[in-house]
Amino acid sequence: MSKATGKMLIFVLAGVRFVLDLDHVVEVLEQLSGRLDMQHSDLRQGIVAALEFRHTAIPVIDPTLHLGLISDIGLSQRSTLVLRSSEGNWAILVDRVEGLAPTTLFSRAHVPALLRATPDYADIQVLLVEDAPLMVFEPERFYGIHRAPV
Amino acid sequence: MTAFGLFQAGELDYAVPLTQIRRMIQGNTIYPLPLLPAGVDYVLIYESTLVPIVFPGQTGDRVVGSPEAECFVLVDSEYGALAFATQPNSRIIADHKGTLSVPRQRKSPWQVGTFYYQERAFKILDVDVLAMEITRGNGSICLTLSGARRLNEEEAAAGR
Repeated sequence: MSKATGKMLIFVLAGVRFVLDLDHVVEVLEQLSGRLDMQHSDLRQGIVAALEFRHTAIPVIDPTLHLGLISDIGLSQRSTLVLRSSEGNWAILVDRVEGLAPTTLFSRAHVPALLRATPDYADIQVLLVEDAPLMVFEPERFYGIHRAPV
Repeated sequence: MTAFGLFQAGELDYAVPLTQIRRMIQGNTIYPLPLLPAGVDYVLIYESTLVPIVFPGQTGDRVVGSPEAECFVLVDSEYGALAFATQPNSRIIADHKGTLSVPRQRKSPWQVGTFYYQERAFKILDVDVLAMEITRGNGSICLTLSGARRLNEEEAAAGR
């Protein structure tokens, strides 16, 4: 969980709530229609568009492709989180941002052996808020040299 | 004496040995999560633990993002707890109240046998085998409606 800011950002994708360490977030952008260049996509890499951000074209990843989720929110209504990484800024599309919460609000959910035995859940972390699960979004799974294939 | 919990989900009547039933759960919110093994689309939270839910006797084509309040039976397997959806008309019945059939050779790996009670045939689930199949991503094979139908057809054919 977040060490520097002590906060987590909560967002929703296809009805599933995720939490992301705020330390990864550069900026939250909304109403992006017109700023996304769909010509620069590479679906094998999970990249659905390029985004002009601070005079640089950065890759935009749609995490639903990797997660097997289907979002029914139109592209123009989705939000974008610009994230930092050692390879530069990049962005993910999300359905909506719910807000920020202090890390102290969350407790860790126990993921049983029944799920841990499946490859996708081997090291996934799930947090709880009032007994509701939120998946920890780990950016390195989606972009960069350690990214899992789509 | 042994007892079974008797349940119904979709077209499937099924039984679970009482020793493996931890409790019944009703009214809990269920949550869709991505990347769950095949046959599992939702989890519920019980004592801060994710419990995968299987819907025996129903199709796997449930719409992600539409949690439904249903009744569940929480069972213990060697791999952890899992929950089966059921209609709320479940019963606990001692084995001597019905007829127990446990063939030497199983018709399906996940079916220990059949418990006949009041002219209904309840398939006795092997919870450990089902859990193991889920860990292998095979949960949908035996838990979908087609799987249940196949079980029914196999049983009908065997009875002819």
